[in-house]
Amino acid sequence: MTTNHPPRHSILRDAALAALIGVVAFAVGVGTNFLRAKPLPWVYEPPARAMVAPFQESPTVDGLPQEISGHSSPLHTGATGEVRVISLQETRQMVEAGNVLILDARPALFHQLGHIKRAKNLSKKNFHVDLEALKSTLDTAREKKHPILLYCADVHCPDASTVARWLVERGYRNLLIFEGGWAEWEAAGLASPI
Amino acid sequence: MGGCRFGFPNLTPCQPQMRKEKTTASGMKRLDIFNMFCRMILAGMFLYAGTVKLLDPAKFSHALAAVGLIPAQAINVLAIYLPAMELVFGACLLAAHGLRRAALLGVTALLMVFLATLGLLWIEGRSLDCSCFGGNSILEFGGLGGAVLRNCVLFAIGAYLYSYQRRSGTRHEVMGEMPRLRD
Repeated sequence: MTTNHPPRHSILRDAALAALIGVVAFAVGVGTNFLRAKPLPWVYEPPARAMVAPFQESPTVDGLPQEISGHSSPLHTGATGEVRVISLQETRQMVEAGNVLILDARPALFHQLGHIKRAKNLSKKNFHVDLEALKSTLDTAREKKHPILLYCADVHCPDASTVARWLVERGYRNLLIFEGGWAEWEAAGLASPI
Repeated sequence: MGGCRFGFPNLTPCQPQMRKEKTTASGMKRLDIFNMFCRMILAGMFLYAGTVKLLDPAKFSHALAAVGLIPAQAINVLAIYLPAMELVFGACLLAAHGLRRAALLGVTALLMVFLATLGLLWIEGRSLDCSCFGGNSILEFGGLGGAVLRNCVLFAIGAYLYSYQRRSGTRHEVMGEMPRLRD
């Protein structure tokens, strides 16, 4: 003969154990991040700023830290300057002045749907092919010491930063990243019909 | 008076006719095999999703930021925590039955949150990459709509497995142990 017991497990007990597993998972996550060669910072930084951060932390040639003011983040490596994050206003001025090579790091389809005036497509996805096609244009900009302005979809898009890093690795300097990207340009009503 | 060992007298799993269910040579009910298969799929999905995102948390943080619903201070914390949670819960789904049941509840709750978020974005007509499996996986078919569908299926599997485990008692687990009678 047996006595009838209610079920020995309840949702509450399962939930408590699940919460405990969650705590273990948090420790695993934090531990994994701590052991990473380049840990993810606790506070999110948009891709362009995350890319320039190491340069900002490093001292300049004369040993003084870089200055950061307003929306514009002067970035640079050494005395010549490599990468700088710029605002919508600065981008607008440069586009109007015309002495800048503008590169759209978004995929070709999005570039065809709309882009900043005179922008060339150097997509992250098709980087090697696009780079080959734009090599002479890039080299001309380098010879004339014209800045190269990159942008992608929006402030969270990492493509412009990635392409900028690849260009730096190939010896290009004086790069600018328009952090707000196409989304900010379009929202400001600056997108003109193609 | 007859009753089952774990306090479920006259409940279906303990009644004699249940023992007439078709079993395999190893004594596992077909339903148990099906449940185990479902659980393996769920565990596999979570282990895979957790691993690929844990390998590149920066990419996942950009995907979370693009959602636009999460405060900036919480984005990286979630980018670190969520993949680890998927990984640990996925591993617990393969563990002993006490942990497994709790993991099933956790996974189902997690899928409910994912489903609500993705569903909201889908209804809003957003065109986002869900980055559920790191962004480049063949499993990420159909954009946001596909992600909602995938999460619906996984949520249904999780909810079914958890309710089955609760119904069938402490020992009669999804893994395939037969309920025992005690006279």
